[in-house]
Amino acid sequence: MLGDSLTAGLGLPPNEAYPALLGVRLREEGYDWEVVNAGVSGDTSGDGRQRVGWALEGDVRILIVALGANDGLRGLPVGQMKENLQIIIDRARQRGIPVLLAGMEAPPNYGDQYTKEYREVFSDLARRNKVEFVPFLLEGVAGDPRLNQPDGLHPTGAGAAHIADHLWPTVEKMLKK
Amino acid sequence: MIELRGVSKTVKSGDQQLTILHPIDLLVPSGQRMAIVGPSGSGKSTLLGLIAGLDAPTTGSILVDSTDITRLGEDDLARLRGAKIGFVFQSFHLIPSLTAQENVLVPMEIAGRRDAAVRARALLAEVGLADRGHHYPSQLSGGEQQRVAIARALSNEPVIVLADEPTGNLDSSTGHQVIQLLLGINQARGTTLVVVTHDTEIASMADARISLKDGRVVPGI
Amino acid sequence: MRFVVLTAIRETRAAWTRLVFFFVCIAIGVGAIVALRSIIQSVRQVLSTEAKTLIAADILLSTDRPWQPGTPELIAARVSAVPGAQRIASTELPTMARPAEESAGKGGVARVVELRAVQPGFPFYGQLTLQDGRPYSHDLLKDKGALVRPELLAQLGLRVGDRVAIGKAQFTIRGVISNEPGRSLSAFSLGPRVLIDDQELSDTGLLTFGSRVVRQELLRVPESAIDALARDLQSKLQPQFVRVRSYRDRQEQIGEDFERAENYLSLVGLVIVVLGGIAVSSVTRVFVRQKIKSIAIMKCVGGTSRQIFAVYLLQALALGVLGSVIGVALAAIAIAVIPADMNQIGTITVTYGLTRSAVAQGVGIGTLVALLFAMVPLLEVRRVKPSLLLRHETSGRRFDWLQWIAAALVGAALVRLATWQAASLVVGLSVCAGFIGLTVILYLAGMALTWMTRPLTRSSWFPMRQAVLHLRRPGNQTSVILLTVGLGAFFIMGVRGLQVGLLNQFAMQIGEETPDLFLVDIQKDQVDPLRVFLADRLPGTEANLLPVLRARVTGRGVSFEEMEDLKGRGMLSREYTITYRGGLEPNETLVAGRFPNPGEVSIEESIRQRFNISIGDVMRFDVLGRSVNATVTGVRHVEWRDGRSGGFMFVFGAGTFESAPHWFIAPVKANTANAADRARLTHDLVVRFPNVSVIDLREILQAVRKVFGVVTVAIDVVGTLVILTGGLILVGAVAVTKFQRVYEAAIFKTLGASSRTMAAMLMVEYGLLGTLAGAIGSFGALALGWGVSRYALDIPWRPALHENVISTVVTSLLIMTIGVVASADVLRRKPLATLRAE
Repeated sequence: MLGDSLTAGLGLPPNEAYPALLGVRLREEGYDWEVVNAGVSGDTSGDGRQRVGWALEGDVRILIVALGANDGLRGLPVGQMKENLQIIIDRARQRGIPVLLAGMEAPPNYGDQYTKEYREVFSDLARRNKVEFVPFLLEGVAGDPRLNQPDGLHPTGAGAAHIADHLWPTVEKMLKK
Repeated sequence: MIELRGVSKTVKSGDQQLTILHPIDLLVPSGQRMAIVGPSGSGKSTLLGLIAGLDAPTTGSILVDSTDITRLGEDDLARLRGAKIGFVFQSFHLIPSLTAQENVLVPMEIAGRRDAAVRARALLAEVGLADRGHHYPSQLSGGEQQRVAIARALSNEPVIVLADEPTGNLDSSTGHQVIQLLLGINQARGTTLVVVTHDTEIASMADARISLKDGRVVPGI
Repeated sequence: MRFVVLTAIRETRAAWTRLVFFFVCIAIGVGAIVALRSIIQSVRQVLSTEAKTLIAADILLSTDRPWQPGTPELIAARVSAVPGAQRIASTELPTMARPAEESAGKGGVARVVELRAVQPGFPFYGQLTLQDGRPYSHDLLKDKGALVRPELLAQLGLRVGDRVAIGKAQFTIRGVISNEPGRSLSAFSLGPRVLIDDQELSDTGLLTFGSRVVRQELLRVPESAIDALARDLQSKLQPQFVRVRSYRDRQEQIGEDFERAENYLSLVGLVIVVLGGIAVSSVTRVFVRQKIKSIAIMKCVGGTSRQIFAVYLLQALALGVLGSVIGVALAAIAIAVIPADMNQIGTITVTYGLTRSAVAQGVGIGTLVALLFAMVPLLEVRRVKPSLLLRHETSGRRFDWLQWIAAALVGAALVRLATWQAASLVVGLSVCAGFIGLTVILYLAGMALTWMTRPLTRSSWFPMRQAVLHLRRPGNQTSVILLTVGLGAFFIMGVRGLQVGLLNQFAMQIGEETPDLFLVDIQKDQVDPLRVFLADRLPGTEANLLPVLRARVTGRGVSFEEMEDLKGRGMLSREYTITYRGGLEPNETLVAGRFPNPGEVSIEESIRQRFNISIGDVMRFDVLGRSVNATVTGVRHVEWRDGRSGGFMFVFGAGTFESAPHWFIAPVKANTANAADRARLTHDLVVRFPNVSVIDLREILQAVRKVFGVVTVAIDVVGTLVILTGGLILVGAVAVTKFQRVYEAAIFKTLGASSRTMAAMLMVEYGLLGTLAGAIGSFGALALGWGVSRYALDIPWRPALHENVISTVVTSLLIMTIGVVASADVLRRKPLATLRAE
């Protein structure tokens, strides 16, 4: 799972981050898979692009890409983000690894134009590359004070569970293939 | 009047008890001049110090003007001395930081007398030092210092004047002047005078004499 | 009473020359306190203004969530309950700005800006300055006006007068901000500042659900109400995730250092008081000894102990007051001669002047210290027996409960005084405890010295034999000199050590070399081009590009006993920024083991201590999603304050992660302070290396530097004062004990001792005392330095052993010299004069 602090589980014990919860779910459901949390706090799509090769070494069967939140928070150019994510998807494809792309929303303070362009990056990429797609990683979690840590950005344990549940159907679909 | 009953003084010297003064009874009537004579270390000065309440006896009681001073505390003793006893030392013991006149003033100021300044001048004139009141002790000769000391001893009009070898540190002619002064005062004011002395001249002029040797009274000269 | 007053006057007149020292000690002590306090107060005033400027208010409330219903009303109610309090709201958010007209500037380019919307009245403190020198007024923002930082103009290719689009609204650029107070200290900048009117913020349509917005309330509150209001709001608003900071807040680094400096200065003021007190005490002790005969005479002619005690206490009081007044005069002179260049620190001007409260404090403390420290030795007056006029006897040393009670009282008063001056009970208590502890040690040392030198009494060298005998004779000065000199050396060295520590720290933190630009997210293939770029744009600066990776510790030990165990150790399993390289950086020292080879790791001291990891342990890291095992080969100490080479908890051997994806950071010192130049540099950097983020710390550093500049001056001034006072007290301690040897000297001379022999004798005696006192004092100072650094000031402590050795030697030489020089007239004087005077 390639991601940022949301994936890394910033502010949470390692076993409460959503990738760890997915791992538990996998075992519970009888899949003998291991989830490798390659989330790095503060990573932008550019950082992800840099290290995708490193992360894909080893026996990787599915790549979940959950990047872009930091690009959005910092208002980085969306074109750049799109390019970076495309390269990540390409790298995985070259190795024959199926990709799950998790989308993000930019905070509305950057204005409608930015948030719209930002949102379209993910749907465009998913459509163009025909990869599995979850439009918004934080669906139902973002903006809910009960599911977020005091910084209002990072999910709590409960929030992470929410995310894991949200991703699960798509993950399960991919496992079955 | 001074009365001593069974007064003795023992001090600790190392591990030993050293008796400086063996029990002694003594009566000095008012107005009397008494000489205490004896060799060095015979206990003369100790005896005088006990009478002045400068030291406490080991046994016995001392009555000064019918007050038992052995029952008094340090501060009451000081007050009694201030009011009733004048003391003249062998080595004068003026306060070096004060002028002659101020030295004379000290007892009167302690007693809170209002006429202190006037009296101090008068007393200095009486001892012949009217013009030296502003000198410091170090600027005065031995005889002059002793005369200041006498003026100081008289300042509160004491009923008793005690003198410890008053001429011991003076040459003979100065010593003579000092003795004359002391005796004159005794006569003029009717004070009791007790003098510890080696000086046969003083001893001979006294009304009564006692001789001490090794802390005991011995038959007189 | 008349007697007491008159005698006190006469005694003072007569002993004038000897008492000069008494009131000089008080005068210097008081002078130091008054000058110090005045400086502290002047500086503090400036510092508070500066600190207020840093947040532009007295109290700043901020939250990154929308206000909960009722919260603004609650704040309004609390603020209006304080008379004279004002508040303004401000909103900050990062957003996108683009030129409004496609034709103007670089059309279509959007840039991230930090938008701040303010109400009229902003800022409460400090000045918002515009580049063209016009004064800032809120009117500039009315009707869709905006003020922007020069970088934005450069980035968007706009000019003043152009319009900029933010969200759904457009704003006319009315001016260029050159300096903005209250620019957040802790947050790194995402982009240039744009300032607009708070009322027009809603027009942008950016304040919707999910917006990342920081809402602030700036409060201006009368000084006396700040703490209470801040605490009150804190307790009310904390559950709502509102951060409450007052300008004094300790959370700010600057606040911490400010407090630290203040504590330090108070502590030094206290030290000076104690030094003065020691001097007074020893002078009084000697004075009483000299006065024993006079006291006996007064007792003989009717003076009671109480009256005589009153005489000398009155004298001490008079001298205390006189000394204090002279001290105030000294302080006034000292402050008047503070060089003019010290007044101007950076852009702020400090006007030094005597403050009324400093004068009152100084005189009060001076008088009190004179009385307190004179009291214990003066109580000996009570023990003087008039009978000593008949016999030459020394009053026996008996246990005097009153003197002990008085000493305890003085001790208590001292603790109280210390607590007051240092504004901390802990500091007050620990200084007094140190003081008392050292007194006991010095006292014991004095006994040990006389005991240990016993064999020397059989020395064949006459001066040695006599000197040692002097140390042992009844009524000797051994303990007096040991105490005074020892404590003096103790405080001087202690203060010096702390001063050096503090100043080092400041220098490190604010040195001109401190990098002020941080380039982050540099990619591997950009390292060389960036180096070339920096060499070209910033000639003379060697860019230090550090490779960095993120890693998480996932296990320790060969068997990986494990996550459970590690979790127990809390923070270890958090993410760390790591690096790899071939050797130590200048801000690192090797504490144990060796520098790692490729594939091995070196840990920072604090990691070892906190998590009990030792050399030889194998640690498992999760580096970017891959497990890496590395053997710990060494432990480093990192000087965190020195930011030039960064600071890393884990450093791997050279090349360890060469193949791993990673990027670089570069702390750079830009050699220009001009905002526009810096903006151009940043702009060019970003154009050339679009993914590189530039964090400009110059303004923050500048503000911090100014504050530290002021503090450094204050510390220097008081350090000098302490040494001056201490030196004087050393001189005095020796000089006042001189009278004790006058008589013996005369006798020795009569018996045929030459001046040279006598001088040798004095040198040995004082040399022994000086060495012992100096050694105990300066090594005691090590303990003081350690304790105070660690517990009171919270700064790293490094012993400077060579300084202690030097100071011991200097002390003993000084004491020796003073001892001989102070006794020179004794040696010269004809013996007969001395003997006769006695």
